[in-house]
Amino acid sequence: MSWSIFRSMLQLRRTSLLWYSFGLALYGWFIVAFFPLIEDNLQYMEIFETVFTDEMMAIFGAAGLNFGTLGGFLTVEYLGLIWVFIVAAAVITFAAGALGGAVEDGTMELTLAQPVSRTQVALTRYLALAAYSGALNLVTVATIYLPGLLHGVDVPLDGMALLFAIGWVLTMAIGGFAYAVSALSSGGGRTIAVSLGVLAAMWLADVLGNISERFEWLSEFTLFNYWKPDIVIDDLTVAGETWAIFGIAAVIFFVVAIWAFRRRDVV
Amino acid sequence: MSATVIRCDKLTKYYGKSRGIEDLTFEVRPGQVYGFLGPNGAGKTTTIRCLLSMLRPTSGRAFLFDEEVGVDGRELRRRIGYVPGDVKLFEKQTGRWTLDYIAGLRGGPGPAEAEICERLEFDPSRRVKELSKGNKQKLALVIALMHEPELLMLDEPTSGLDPLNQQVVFDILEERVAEGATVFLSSHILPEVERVCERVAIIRDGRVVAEESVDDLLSKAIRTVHVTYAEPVPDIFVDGLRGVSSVERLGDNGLRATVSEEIGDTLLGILARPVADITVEHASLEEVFLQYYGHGEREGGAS
Repeated sequence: MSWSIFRSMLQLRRTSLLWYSFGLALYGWFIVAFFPLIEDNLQYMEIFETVFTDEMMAIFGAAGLNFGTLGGFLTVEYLGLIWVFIVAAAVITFAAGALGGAVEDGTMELTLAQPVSRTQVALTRYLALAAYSGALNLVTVATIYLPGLLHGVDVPLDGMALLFAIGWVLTMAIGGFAYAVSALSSGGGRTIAVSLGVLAAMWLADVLGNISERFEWLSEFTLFNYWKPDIVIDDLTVAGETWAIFGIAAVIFFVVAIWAFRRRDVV
Repeated sequence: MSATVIRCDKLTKYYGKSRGIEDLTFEVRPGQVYGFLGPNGAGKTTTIRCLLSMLRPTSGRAFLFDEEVGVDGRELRRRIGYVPGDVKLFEKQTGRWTLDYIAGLRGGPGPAEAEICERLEFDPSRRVKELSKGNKQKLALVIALMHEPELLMLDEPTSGLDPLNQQVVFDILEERVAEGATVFLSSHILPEVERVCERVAIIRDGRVVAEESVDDLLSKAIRTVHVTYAEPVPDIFVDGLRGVSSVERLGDNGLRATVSEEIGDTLLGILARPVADITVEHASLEEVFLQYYGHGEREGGAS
C-alpha cells in the first residue's frame, strides 16, 4: 500500500467522481420524489403494466416486480438496470485508467521508475478503486434516504445499509473484472470496450433468460440474475449465493489482475 | 561499494518475433559516465527498460549494483534517477503536484529539488499540459535529479532544451559525477557525449558493435592528414603510401589522406619527402559513430 498512489488516484478521478455523484443524486432524488405519486395511484400502474408485454418488462428488468413497493419501484426505474450501467461505467473507466490506461499514457513508466513494487501499485490502485466505488454507493443510498425524509417516503435505513454493502460488492465485481482486463492490456479504451461489452452481453443473456424458458439457463451466468435490490429494500435480505458470487468474482479478478500486472511488460 | 553499477550479461529481449536487443553484454563501473549510442530503433530504450524492470528479458541477465534485476526491484530503483526518452507526465496536474507525488513515492521531498528548479529556471506551479516540450523535459530532469541518486539513467536528457539549458544539465551531471554518481547516458548529441563520457557502447540492430573508452575509440578511428609538400610529388609516391584508406591530390604539392590504422607508419611514409606544412585532424565521436552506421540505416526496429 502506498498512500501517495492512493491519494493521487483519487485526486486524478475527483472530477469524474463529482459528476457521477451529481448524476446519481439528481436521478435518485427524482425517482424518490416521484414514488408517493405512484403509491397513491397504483390502480393506474396496474393498467400501465398490462400495456407492456412480458418481453418489454424483461428488457427493463421489471419482470415479476411490484411497482407498488419502494423496492420494486426503485428497481424498475433506477437500481435494476440504469444504476448498474451508470456505476459500472464509472468503475470501469476508473479501472481502465488505473493500469492499462496508465501504461498507454506513459504515467505508469514514471511511477514504476520510482522505488515502488508492481504489487504495491496494483494493490493500492485496487484499493483506490474500492474507495471510489464505495463513495458512489454511499452517494446512491444517501440520495435515496435523504430525499425520502423530505418527501415522506418511508425508506428503511437498514435496507439502505444492506443495499450499500451489496451494491459495493457488486460494483467491485464489475470493477474487478475491468481491473483484470486493464492489467492485461496496454490501453484504457480496450478495457472499457471489453468490460462494457461483457456487461451488455450479460444483460442481453439475462433478458433472453427471462423471456424464454429455453434460454433460462443463460441467466445463471449473469450478474443481473443475482442483483435483487427490490428484495434488499423491501425484505431487508440478500441471498448468501449473491454475496458469494459477487464477492468471489471481486476477489478472483483482483488476484488475476495482480498476477497479470506483475508478469507483463510495461510498454 | 559495488564492483559494477550496471552489468548486462547476454541480455536479450524480443517483442514477439521482432528483435529488441540481442546478447547485450557490457558493464558500467562506479563513477563512470557511460555513453550508450545508437540511432532510433537500435535498442537503447529497450535496454534501459529491462534494467528498470519495465520489460522482462527474453533471456540473459541484468544487474544493478551487483544485484540481479527482478520484476520488483524497488530498493534498486531507490538508488536510480531516470529520465525517459519520451517524457510522459500527468498532463492535467501541475509540476508541483508531480514533484510531490514522486516525493511521496520516495519517502520525502528531494533535497536538491529547489536547487535544480532554480538552475534550470523551472516553475513547477504551472499545469503540465501548459508546459512546452523543453519545460516538460526540465520537470523530468528535476524528478530524476532531486533525490541525488547514485545512478542516473538518462535517455536523451537534453531533448527539447535550448543550448544554455543543455549546458546547465551537463554541468550538473559533471558535479554529480565528481560527488561519486554514475551516469548512463543515451544521447544523440555526440559532441556532448564525447565531452562528458569516458566510455561508450555503440549499439546497432540490438547488438553492441563497439564498447571501449572514448579515447581508445577515437584513437582507432579515421584521421584526416592534410599535407603540403615543399615541392611537387609524383603520383607514384602518393599511390605508394601505406595505411591510407583514401587519398586525394590537392594540386601538385598537396594531398589529403584518411588513415584508419596505426598512423605512425603512414606518417613516416608521408614524411619521406620534404614537407612545408602538415595537419592531422582527429575524428570526432560523430564520425566514429557514422563509421558504424550508414546514413540509410538510422530508422526502424525497436526503440
